[in-house]
Amino acid sequence: MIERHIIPELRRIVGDVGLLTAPEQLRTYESDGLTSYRVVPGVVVLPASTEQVQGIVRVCHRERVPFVARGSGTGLSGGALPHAKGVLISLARMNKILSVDLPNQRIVVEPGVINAHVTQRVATQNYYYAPDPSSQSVCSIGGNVAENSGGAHCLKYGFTVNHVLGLTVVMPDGEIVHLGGATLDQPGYDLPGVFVGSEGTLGVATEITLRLIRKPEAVQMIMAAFHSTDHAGGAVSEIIAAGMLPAAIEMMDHLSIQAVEQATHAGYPTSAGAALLVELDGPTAEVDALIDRAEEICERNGAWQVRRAATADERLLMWKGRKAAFAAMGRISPDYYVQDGVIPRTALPRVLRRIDELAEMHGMRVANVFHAGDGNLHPLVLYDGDVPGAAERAEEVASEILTACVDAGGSITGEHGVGEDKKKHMPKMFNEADLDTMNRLRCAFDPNLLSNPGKVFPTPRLCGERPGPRREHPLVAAGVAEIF
Amino acid sequence: MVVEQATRESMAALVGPEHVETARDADAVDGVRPAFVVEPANAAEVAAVVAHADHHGLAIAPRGGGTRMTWGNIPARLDLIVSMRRLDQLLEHADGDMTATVQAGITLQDLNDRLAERGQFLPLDVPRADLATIGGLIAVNDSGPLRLRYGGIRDLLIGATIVRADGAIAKGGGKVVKNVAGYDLPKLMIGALGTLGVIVEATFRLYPLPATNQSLAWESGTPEVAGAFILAVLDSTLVPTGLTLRWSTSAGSTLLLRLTGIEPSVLAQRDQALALAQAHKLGEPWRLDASDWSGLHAELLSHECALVARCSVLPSEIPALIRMLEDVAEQESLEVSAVIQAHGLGLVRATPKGTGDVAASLRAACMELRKRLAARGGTLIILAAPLAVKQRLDVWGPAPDALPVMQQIKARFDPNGSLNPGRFLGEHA
Repeated sequence: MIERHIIPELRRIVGDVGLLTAPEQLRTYESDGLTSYRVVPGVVVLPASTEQVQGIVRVCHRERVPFVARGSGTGLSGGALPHAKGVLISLARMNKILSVDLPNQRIVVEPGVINAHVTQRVATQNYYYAPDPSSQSVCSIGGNVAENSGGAHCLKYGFTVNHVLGLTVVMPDGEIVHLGGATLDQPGYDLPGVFVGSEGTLGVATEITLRLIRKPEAVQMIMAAFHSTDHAGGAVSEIIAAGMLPAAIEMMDHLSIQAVEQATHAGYPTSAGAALLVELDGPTAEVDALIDRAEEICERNGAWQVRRAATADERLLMWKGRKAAFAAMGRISPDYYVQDGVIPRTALPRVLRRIDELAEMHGMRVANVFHAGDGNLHPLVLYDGDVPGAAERAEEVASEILTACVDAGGSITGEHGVGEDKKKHMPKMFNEADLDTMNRLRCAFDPNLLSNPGKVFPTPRLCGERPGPRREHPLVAAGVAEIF
Repeated sequence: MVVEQATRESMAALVGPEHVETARDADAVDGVRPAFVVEPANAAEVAAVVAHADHHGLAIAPRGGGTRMTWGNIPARLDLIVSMRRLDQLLEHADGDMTATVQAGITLQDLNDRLAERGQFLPLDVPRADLATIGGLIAVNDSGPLRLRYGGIRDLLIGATIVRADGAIAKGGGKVVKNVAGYDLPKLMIGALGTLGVIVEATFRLYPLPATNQSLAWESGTPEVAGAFILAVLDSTLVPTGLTLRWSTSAGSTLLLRLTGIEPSVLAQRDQALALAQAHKLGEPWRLDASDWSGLHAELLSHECALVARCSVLPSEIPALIRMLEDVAEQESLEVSAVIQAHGLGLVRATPKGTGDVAASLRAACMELRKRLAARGGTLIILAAPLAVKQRLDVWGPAPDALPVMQQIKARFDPNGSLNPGRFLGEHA
């Protein structure tokens, strides 16, 4: 339960319309897209402006009450999991596009703006916003900033961080600062670079300057059916080795194809062991020549069917199938647990075999959907939550998959973030010195650890006083705590 | 002298006596001469050297090829240069994964020569690539015309290992292109001028070397005509790997455009570009070759000159920037030249024509430019200038409102202020 006396003060800041305290209202915020973690927040506020966010955060800072910022709640790592004694700040009402500057390819938005709405706003003028997570029709830019969201097209176009130029941020003490700006290489440290992807632990972004991209002259896409993921993986390697940089290369295995086809009827070859989507964009002469080569490469690697999208609609249907893959799992399994490991592309066959072994060993089914171009796997461990112990077994398989990814030289998360769910896996990638260095950054922004506390780091850490030369932390001096 | 002798002995014990040298005049940074230049062999030796220096209150400046040592404010103190010259290995070129991991002291040229053996490259085109090291380039965040297509170092660097002031060796990021685990520490090192840690290792995403390239140039008339052409190219479906405006008070302005890729695409894009140029009444183009590009910036940096600065403006403000340069050149009687990229980053060189108070006129020019740029969201950072200018002017310009956060980061990474003290933003004496 939250300290009741701050409620009237929060009400004065956001008004009745921006304050939720009834238990049934609070419960709708108890989890994000990863529903296995649930915490009912102390109170929910829905500010409408940077100043209101500042007011809320100042109260939190003064009272040492933790706060968690939340966009659309589509995250898959429990990053927006509320704090039981804290304030949940929903940015959903801050959903205005503030300005568009097409000649300079910039757009300034509030954090609650939906990802797809950015593109919709400039589409008729032939521009778009590149990062396209599968949840783009509902996820918010603020959430994308927190998670450094990717999507299918980041192989060529990069992630959210590559498209954020500047941010207005309410710091955890309530100060408003501007990180970066509309022009490149502002003097000082690259604070947009570290803020993006900090999972809500460094403050609350209230205005975001994004880069827009000119639509390419041509886009072409093929879908190729293979007997196995090994064959499809061979084609991916050869496409890359040929010096092509496709806009996207996506792979689905047999189980995923089944689920997706049942759900979307996108025309996926249901008897295939693996399907590959390859999209190329750029100047027409380049795309026309390279799509032919990609087709040849697929055929040479054993593709028994290659279909080229003849129209934009057909291409969108192919994408619809891929983007609906997670949701489609409901067709073949009551529940699933999705992972987000990354491996060097060349380790794909080895790691996929390891996933098969793990699935067999634990008697589980694992469907694989992945961004094959950049090695980002999304293994979906299928289980039935009504079977006692099944959820735990699924999580165990998923955990071992992550170990296999890290062992192959990869990462525990490519785009979903660490959040609550994967913080225990951080030591697989980072040692104490690495984590301590990250914590120093955290403490520079948030010495009282109020902004989304308890996420990302595997163990709670101290910040200590504002550092001066050689001052020992009082708890360390007293022998109560150790320096990490 | 006793302290110096003790330091020399300690350093010699850590890296071997043959890798500790008494500093020479050429090792001075803006006139501040260190006692020693130390050349560690690996990350562990860097860590030992830095930890020792930090513990004994010695000020450190990391150094790569030494090509950009004038960047930053005048050092407040300097005892030790930690040269990264011996950490010059390409540790891994994973061509199938299009990544490479290097030691910080490898030169850009050496790296790209090696990557080219397997048809790939790190798309950074900066002057003095033969001397400039990867670690140094990360620290100063330099970039060239290729940034338009491939992004800057922040878009290419995917992992880094640093030695912190206390000697801890820490890494961030990783070896895969897509990775959001933990804070992005590598980004924090970009442009930080070595004030948060000494970069010892870096991993980059790479790109395939383009099969062919063609470059065109036009006399571009007024800055407004050039600016309109630049915006038209940005608004087109052309995908240039360089679009640059070269301008000077004496020689007017030239537009340069580079197209790369497979041949049919380059030829088709060239025809589109020619049509666009004609619509903008640019006149007859001529062909350029690769050396015209590599020479662009070198021209500005290599000459003994009075002041070099980096400007950043919105692409639409490029003509306004040129007009500002014309004005201050006139007001302060300067010879000014500039190379400005379509993405809005430009290098400016100013040399006084007369002999009066040279420093005063350069300072006045910088202040005037800063004032007028700020009104349009632009910035100006001084990269090299006479000491009389740097003593009285913060090379970074006015501090942003996020300065307290930056100072907190510095205080937590380097509590004793051992790494490049005095040189960064907000530290001008």
